[in-house]
Amino acid sequence: MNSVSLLHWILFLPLGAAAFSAFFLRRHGAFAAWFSTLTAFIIAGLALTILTQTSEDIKWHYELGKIGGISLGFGYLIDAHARLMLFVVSFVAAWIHLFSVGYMKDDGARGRFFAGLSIFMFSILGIVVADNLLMTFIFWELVGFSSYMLIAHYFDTDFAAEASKKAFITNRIGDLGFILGIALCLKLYGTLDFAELKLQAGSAVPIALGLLLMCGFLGKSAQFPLHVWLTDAMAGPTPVSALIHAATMVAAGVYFMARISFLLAPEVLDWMAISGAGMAALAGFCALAQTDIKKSLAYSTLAHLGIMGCAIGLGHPELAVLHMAMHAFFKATLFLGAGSVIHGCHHEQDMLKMGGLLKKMPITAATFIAATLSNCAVPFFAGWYSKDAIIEASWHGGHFIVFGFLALAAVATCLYSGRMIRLVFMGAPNSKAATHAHESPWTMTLPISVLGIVYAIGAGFAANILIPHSSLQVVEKSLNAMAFHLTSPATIVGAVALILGYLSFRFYGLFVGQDSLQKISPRTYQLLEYRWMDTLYNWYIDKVQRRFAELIVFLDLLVINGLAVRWIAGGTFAALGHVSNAIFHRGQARANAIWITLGSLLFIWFLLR
Amino acid sequence: MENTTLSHHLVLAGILFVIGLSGVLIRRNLLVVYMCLELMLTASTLALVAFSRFNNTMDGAIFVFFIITVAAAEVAVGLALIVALFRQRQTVSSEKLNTLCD
Amino acid sequence: MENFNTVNSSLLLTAIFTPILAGLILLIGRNLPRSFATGFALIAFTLPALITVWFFVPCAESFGSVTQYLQTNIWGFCFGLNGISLPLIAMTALVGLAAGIKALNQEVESRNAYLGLILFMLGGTLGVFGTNNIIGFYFFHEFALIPTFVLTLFWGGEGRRSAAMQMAIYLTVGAMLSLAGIVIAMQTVGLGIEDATFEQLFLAFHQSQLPLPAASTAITLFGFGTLASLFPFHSWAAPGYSAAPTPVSMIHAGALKKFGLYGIIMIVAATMKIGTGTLSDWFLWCSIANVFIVGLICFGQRDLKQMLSWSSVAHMGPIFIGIWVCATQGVAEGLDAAIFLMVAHGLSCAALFLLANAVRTRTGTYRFDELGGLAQHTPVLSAFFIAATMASIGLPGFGNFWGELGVFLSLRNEPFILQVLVVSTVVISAIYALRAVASVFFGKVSSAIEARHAYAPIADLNGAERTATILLLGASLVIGFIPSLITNRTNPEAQALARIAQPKPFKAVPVKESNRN
Repeated sequence: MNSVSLLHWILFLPLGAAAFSAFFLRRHGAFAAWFSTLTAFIIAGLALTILTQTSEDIKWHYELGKIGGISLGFGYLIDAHARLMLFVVSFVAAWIHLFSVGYMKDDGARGRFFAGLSIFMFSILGIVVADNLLMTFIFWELVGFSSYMLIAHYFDTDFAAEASKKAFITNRIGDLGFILGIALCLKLYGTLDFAELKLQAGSAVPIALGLLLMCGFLGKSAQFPLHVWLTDAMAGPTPVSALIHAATMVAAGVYFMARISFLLAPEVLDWMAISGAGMAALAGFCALAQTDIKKSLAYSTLAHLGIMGCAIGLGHPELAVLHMAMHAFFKATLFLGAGSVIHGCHHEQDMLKMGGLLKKMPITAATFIAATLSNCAVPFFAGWYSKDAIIEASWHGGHFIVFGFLALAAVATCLYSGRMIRLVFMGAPNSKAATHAHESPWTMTLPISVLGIVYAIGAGFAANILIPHSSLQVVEKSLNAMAFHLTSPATIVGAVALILGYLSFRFYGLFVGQDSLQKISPRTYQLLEYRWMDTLYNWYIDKVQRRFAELIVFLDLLVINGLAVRWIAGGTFAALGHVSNAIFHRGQARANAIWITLGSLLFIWFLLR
Repeated sequence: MENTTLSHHLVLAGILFVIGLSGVLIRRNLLVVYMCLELMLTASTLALVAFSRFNNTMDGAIFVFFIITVAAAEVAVGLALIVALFRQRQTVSSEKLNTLCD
Repeated sequence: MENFNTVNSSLLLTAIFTPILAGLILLIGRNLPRSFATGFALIAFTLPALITVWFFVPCAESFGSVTQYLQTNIWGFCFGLNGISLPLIAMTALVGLAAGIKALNQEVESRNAYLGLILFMLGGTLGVFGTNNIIGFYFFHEFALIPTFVLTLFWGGEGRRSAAMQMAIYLTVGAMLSLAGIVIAMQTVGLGIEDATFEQLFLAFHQSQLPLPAASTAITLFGFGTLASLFPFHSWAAPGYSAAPTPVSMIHAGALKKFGLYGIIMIVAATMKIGTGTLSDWFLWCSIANVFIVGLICFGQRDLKQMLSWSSVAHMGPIFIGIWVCATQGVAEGLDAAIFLMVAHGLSCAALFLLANAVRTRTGTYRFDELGGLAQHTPVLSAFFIAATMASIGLPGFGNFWGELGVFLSLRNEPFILQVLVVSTVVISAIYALRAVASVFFGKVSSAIEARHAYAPIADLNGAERTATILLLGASLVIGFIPSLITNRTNPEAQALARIAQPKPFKAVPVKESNRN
């Protein structure tokens, strides 16, 4: 099989699996689970085959049709960026599928869940291989849809219903800009094909184009001001949070930006750098004030997405993609570890009610801690290779404000990591659920061990062994360069952050069953809970949008239906009717006859005139 | 008959028509009104026959056959209606029959 | 007729007249046995769908000529299909089949008359898209409208009297206005009213380039606009669709309403560029109001069927704008996308009406505050409803996506603010549609549903409803995955229309008599 037909299989296998599960396996949950997992591993295998056998760019294009003069293209472009993304997506997704088999064992709607995961695989792989803007947009929307369905998995809770809606609509707001960007791109260059765009886009790309295309990224990657959906999206099952809202989908925005980085004007890049870094610092500190383990991790994801956006803004898309990969490994582990903890503690998500799980769940604890260290960018762990490289790039690029924000973000990361480890794994169990916690089955511990121990630690220094060589083309230089930069400012920041992280670890041991920061400084804690953005949006929806809509409904009834139709049009006819009733319609047949005669005479006069 | 022209016939038909029409307009008794209506119909029939005769075509004559047939049926129905009306209302004066006004 | 194709022509006539004849038989034979009536009606509903879908099977090229695929004259009517009406007639037949399945599944009084009238309506709608001459096109529309009123008046739901009356007045006035406009236009270019076909009118416009009287274009445009619920003339649509029986809402909102749009495309669009002054600007702003203001009105609805009815008005906005951009700016994508959206909207809108009625028959209410958590009792209904909702808000994979995206992209040369207003439909429609899904199917089971479930268990979709929905959504998926099925047929027509509107030096040369015919 040549590589193009392999790509066909990779892309359409999950679609077939999803359709098959949705139609036939709705009542055979266990079978659906293994079926979908098998599919995911086959995809990973096929992807590995492609990545190891070829190293040149793969191109294939087919025209689905033409709307007017616009070609609706469908094609593959596997370049260096796509290779890394393809590996990360297929590989991480396969292990998360396996994890889900165990995690969703008691769920009544496994058929729907795994069909949803498969359709998500189809969508995200479509973004990875797409060779034009239009196809990217198609799969972009499909990703939003599958995310919507999976967040709404527990649809019987009002919270999940709200969260899924919010995620979809927020993404759509971003897509509004994306569509306008596509239209502008078509107007300027007459093509949507990445390769042709790259040839045509000169040095002077209009700012508007970059800004509009960035809107899609803001929505999908949950960047300011469209970040509000990501923390609510944790209402979905934990494997979904790991796969979609940490490792792959939210990173797809970064991947897309890296792919079209030649269309971004310098002003757009500056904005991305500043806002990304600011987002990273803010979200990092907000993670300190969450008691829900998944929400805390969601803020951590926001922070890392900010860092990736910042890397693109600094002009280093290759670092952004590298961080996307490393982040996928350790953040997937963190979420899966959290899932394992939640599973072990009988669906308790409050960190303050956990504690002492190190002994009860040793494998989970070990992988979680390894991934946390990677998250904190401990030297030679995976996260260090990308995150510190980005901090360093900001210093060398002379963006000192960005550097400051990133340093704050690094500190915040260590603070909340220390807190999390202390609250969840150390000390004594703080609730009945934690006392009776148990280690998870092998289907769950195997994936977190592979991702957590092997990849979250080793993906940096052992990249050449763990990741197919052709996937590393774009990041190889950064990986090698990183090993020799132990004395840069980034390293100093990292060291300080790690020390602060250790202090935070001690600090959160002060009070049992309570949050130390909340105890000592409730106001700071409250500020960090970060409610005001949601409050603002809710205020807008309740007080502005809904009232405006009701006003319009009222005006429509009043002005168009009432005034224009009922009163003016209807009134005129009614008045005519009254007049004619009084004069003509007396109920006298004779009167009618007279009028008929007069009418006929008039007509005759008209004819003979 | 030799010196009668089309105009003579038409004038006669016109006179008949006007008599009928004025009867319809002036009289109140439905029975009389009805007879006047028939008079108007006859006037038009006369005009048609005259046209047919003077234009040497059969169109008008054929038309007349239809009119007579329909008129016969119409008289039957109309008289029956008037009788039915009288049974219900005890009057056939068109002044009193003004329920259409509602 | 060089493309005369005996088999295809007689098939087309069969497709149009089978429902009409069957309707006639059912209306006359009101006491025909139930099983016979069912089988008979089912055949009459299925046959047009089979035939029109069969028209789709050969590739577009094998049909030959650009504007005329087949044509035949019978009783002074010229029946035929062109690149625009072929997708529309196929959509109509599918929607009709789905509506028929739904109608056969309903328990109503005087069932035979009900089925007969729906068949009449379907036959008339098929006739609208199946004739080529202008009077036939108009005649069949009126032919389909009358059963619509009767069905709404006698078999409708709450508020059917005033709704049927309002609908009758609006639609009749709209149709009369457009007829008057057409007559004036045809006299201006010197065509006979009785037997002129669309092609002759189009060619006459094209050759003469006569500035038509603006008044004629205006009344035609807004007359057809009324029939397709253009903004200030939309008040009939929402109450009408809410009150009408479900199969009627499906056929009217899905297919018959496209009469107005088809009329604008075939008759008005060619003249919109020339000599209409600010008229086309007015049309544009009305269309934007359809997107934006009606979209906001959808927010304010508290009732599922009302919301769907309003949203079907709102979705007309992008279609109008697509036509506008093709007819006045010469961007062929606009018309292509508008026709695509007409077909796709017909399918998704019919599916939504069908499923909303399924919600109603199971819960006894359409009100959002009484519904909730239905997905726990009826998973298949919920899945289908979500799929239909996603189709209607333009999820890729369904046909609506290509239509909406095509309209957005065709606006690329227009002012930015215009683009933003139009594209905002993706957000607006997502908000109200997902709100409806969340409040009907997600969340906790509402007390009203709980009480009803305790009384009699709520069943999931039955076979008939499933078949009808799969038919509609399946068709939408097919054109979503293979857009060339539609665009290959509409593209030549769109290019032809766009060429008229493309900017070129306009010479006011008086037309010679000989050119007129």
